Amino acid sequence: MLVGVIGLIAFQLAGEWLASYFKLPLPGSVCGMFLLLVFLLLRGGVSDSLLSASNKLFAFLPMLLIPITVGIYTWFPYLASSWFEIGGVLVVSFFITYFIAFFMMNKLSS
Amino acid sequence: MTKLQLANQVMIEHPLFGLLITLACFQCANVLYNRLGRLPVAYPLVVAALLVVAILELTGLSYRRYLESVETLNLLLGTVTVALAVPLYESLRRLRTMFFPVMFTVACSAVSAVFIVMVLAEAVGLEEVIIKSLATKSVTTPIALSITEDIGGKATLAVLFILITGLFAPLFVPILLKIFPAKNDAVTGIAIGVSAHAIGTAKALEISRECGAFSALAMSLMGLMTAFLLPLIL
Repeated sequence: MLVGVIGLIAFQLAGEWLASYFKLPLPGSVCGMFLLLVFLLLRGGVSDSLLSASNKLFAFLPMLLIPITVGIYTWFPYLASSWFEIGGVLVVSFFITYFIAFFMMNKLSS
Repeated sequence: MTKLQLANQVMIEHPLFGLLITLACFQCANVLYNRLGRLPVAYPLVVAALLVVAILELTGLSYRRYLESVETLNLLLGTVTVALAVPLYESLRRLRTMFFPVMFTVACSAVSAVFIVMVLAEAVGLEEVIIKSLATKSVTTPIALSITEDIGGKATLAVLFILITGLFAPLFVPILLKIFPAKNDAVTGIAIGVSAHAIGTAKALEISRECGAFSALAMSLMGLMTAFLLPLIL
């Protein structure tokens, strides 16, 4: 598993390097993801170590999101006056976006 | 300050304190989630965040100090993005047969998501800066942040809207799937990925690895397309 973790972090850093060198409008981690994808395609398979490292990370993804989520509460006073409108807009547009994608995929996929 | 207060202060300000409460709150939230039969409203991320907020309020630790102490977790978020290449690779064979449906769906979603949220926001009379910060609400945070400032929105507000939008996935998707069943996990994954980015992907991974992979794919494509489209539209 350690080899997998090392590989992931190395690809992440390589992505950061690439994004900064070519001034790409993408975050480095997304570049890293594409680099790893290309690597896996060239190699033609996923090693056990990489598989277990990525599975472990996915299991903890909600935990990694906690610190940013906590930040929401620091914004409550600022938005107090238009809370209701913002909430409404977010909920309605979430449903519309979800349904457009959902029904298009359900129709188009075999 | 008494000896007791001083010791308490040292403990609370210790970098490990933030890490400890994050791990502990997540564990408690997970136990509660499973006890309640995986009730959507008790989604661990939401419950854990509320518990952390309560502890910060009780101990008087500022959000900034807390964030500094858990910087490592934020860094690992990028590592998870990289790791998404693994399920993505595994789903590529299925993607080959669905390349055009997926591309077409995500492109339509990217255009409509931006358009709908801005029209709605305009209609209810929200401020200009809020409208522009809402435009990226369906895009994964790292990509959205690089766009928002360019189009005249506020990055901090954008983060908030992105987060709230993401949290709708664990709240609503289980119910939506009961009412409108999906043909396969790829359909669910794409729908979650375009509407609820990384938090949605965390939920999608709970449904199945394939669902997670398609959600990750939709999320990255959505981010890419919005990054290119939005500066053109505005």
